[in-house]
Amino acid sequence: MSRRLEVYIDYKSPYAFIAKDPTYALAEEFDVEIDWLPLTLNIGSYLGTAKVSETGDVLENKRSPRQWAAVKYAYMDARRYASLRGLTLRGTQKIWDSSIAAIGMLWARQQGASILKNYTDRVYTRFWRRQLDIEDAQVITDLLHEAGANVEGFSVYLAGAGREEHDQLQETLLDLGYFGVPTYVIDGEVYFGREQLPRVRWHLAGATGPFPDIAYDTMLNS
Amino acid sequence: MSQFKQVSSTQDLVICLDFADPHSYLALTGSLALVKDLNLSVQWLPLSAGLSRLSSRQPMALQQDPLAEYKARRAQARQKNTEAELRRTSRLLDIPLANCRLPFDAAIAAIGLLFVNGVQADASGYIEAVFETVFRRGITSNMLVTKILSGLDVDLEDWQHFVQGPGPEALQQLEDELLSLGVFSSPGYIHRGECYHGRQHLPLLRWYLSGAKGAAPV
Repeated sequence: MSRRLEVYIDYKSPYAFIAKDPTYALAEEFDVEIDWLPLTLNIGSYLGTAKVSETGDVLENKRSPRQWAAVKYAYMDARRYASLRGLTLRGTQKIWDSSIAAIGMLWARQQGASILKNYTDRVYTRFWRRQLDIEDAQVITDLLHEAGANVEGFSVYLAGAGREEHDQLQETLLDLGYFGVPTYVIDGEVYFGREQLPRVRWHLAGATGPFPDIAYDTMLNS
Repeated sequence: MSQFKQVSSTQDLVICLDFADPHSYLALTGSLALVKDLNLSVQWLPLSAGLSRLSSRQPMALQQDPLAEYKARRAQARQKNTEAELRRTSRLLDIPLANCRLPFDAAIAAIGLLFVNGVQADASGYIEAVFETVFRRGITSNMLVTKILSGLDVDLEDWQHFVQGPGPEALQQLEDELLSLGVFSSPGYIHRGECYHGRQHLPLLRWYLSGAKGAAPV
């Protein structure tokens, strides 16, 4: 029987970005299909908000020193792993509203796994190179098209059913206790963070043997 | 202040642990193995002011903050995850879940580590004893520190002077210094000036400290 693995991501999360490829690798190893879904973070609510210039000068600041420490660490941490994998991860200059791109994910998801993968790979790669405005509906529509999706009706979906589905999903996820990305759900267990991949692997392998500890492990090398 | 040490920039690794945090306890075995396997020079430091405990993370009053309801619901969701992780931690440590939730003010134990650092070359025995006593035996009395120290080759009179004298201020200064270095969560590691929060980084630290040979564990 095919296992069900749900993975929740947000395109504006650097941690979700660097979790993407190890997650693909794991799914391929166990021949499991992933149900990718958007969990759109309201980062400003827990890490404050700020805007910085191209050169890193702070233009607007609503963060405490400790919130800055957390934000700076998150980017530094994600970047060191990204650079070891040859990925470009440039810190964002503001807190983005990623809901349009997330609704694009819901649209692509309806059109099959390979279209969704094409779309997700493109969004992540370009966004983290600062080459993609994920708040621009036309940009997202064009990207869906480029990823192989049929975009007829997308603008109506984006303004209506897609927005409703997205917003309702976010409400449901909070009630379920999913609060960050990436979140993995398998066998009724909820795991938050890429460091949980050894445990996801343990489930996929039949949940036998000792329960593993968390680790930024070698999913891509295994 | 002769016993107060600042964060080392010459040791191979600085390891910061919170004696009230079961995740720090769970990180101990892997951290000790890393130090032993690679014969590392290490500085063990206490950390007892995690970011999540600080008031800056507390939501504003409901009437002032339009996001208050969202924040409260997210905090609840986060708490659910914390509880699930505690269950997993107690399973991995093979200790009762209740022992992961014991109310324990780790300040005295943290000051104890500063004291031991000042008088002994290797603080790992003290660290193991504190964690074992708190999480395995469920003892959280502040007297546990004096009891553990009495089993080590240290002068208890010096300890009393330290804990009643410069110790608390030394701890505060250390926490400020750690925060300025970007260490705000336990277990925290510093290698070549770079911070790593969480035991999930142990594979990468091992890779770097072994000479960065072969594929990186990423």
